[in-house]
Amino acid sequence: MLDALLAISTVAFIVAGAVVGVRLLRLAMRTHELTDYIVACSVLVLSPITYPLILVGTLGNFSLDETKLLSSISTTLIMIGWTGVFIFTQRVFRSGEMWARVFVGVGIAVIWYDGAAGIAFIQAAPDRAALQSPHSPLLWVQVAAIVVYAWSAFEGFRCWTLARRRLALGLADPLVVNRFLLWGFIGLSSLLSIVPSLVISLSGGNGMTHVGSRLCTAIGGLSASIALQLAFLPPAGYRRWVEARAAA
Amino acid sequence: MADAEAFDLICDQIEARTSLDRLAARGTVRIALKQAGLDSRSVTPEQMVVVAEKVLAGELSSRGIANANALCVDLAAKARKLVGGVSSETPDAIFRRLGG
Repeated sequence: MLDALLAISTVAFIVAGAVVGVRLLRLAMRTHELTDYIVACSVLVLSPITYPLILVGTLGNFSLDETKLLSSISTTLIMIGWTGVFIFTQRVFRSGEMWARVFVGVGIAVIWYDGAAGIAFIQAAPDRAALQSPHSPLLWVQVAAIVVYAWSAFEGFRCWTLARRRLALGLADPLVVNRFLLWGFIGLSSLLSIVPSLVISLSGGNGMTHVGSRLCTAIGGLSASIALQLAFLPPAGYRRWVEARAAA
Repeated sequence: MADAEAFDLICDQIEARTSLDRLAARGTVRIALKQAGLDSRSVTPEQMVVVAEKVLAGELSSRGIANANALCVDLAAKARKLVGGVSSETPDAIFRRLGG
């Protein structure tokens, strides 16, 4: 049952990321806005590119060197994707604020410093067991990801709260207001996918095999996929529902 | 981050045309913006027009300003003159664009 839920969640995450990512990339190619390119690339890199790569590396029958190569590439891609999430959050929600620029700088430095150490660890691993150890590095990369998703969720919910007041004055589009809410949910869902696994790993367990952690990962992945789709490629029926609710 | 041009304009006008001093004028406009879910640093001229028309009059009246409605109509007209000028991208504008 849990395996089936994880499989559905994984497929949904990859498909939603691919569809939404391509649409955002096409939009960015039309607008030539850096912010649009950043969010498009982050979605594409984190979902339909890296996720299948991790699955192939985990499930495929590769030599140790090939597995190391795949792990190093997927780690680098994750670092690129999370760097994008940091920059996007700052550019959209806190542009022009010095503290946010410093915060993002620190976050990105942590990701790349610890990520580089993680890749060195992968390359030096003597066997497959060492690669799959729950105590491998990348702790601080994951902490940085938790911080940026929490920040991103906070900003989404904050903007949603403010935008609802503007909606009452006719100063906001109901779909944009709803998009802020969904953006907050995407951040929360991403946290749900990462935090339990990390906590279990830090407490000595294996986050990759723990039932509770896997359940959280599945629910988080599924809810993030749905929110991503509704936010950036909503079906006509959903659009009508949001607009009707705002008009009521 | 500095306050938006539209915010400064409205505050200067209130300070010049009412008994409110600079601090009180800016505080009153900030309260009106907060009620509307806006911020003095990112408010656009278009948004300032609506706030002046729909929210600010009430705040000014509650501070004993006579003819607040007429003043706000004039303030909205002044803010409207800034529409179309240089403006930074707001989260609203970015999220509207990303929705296609």
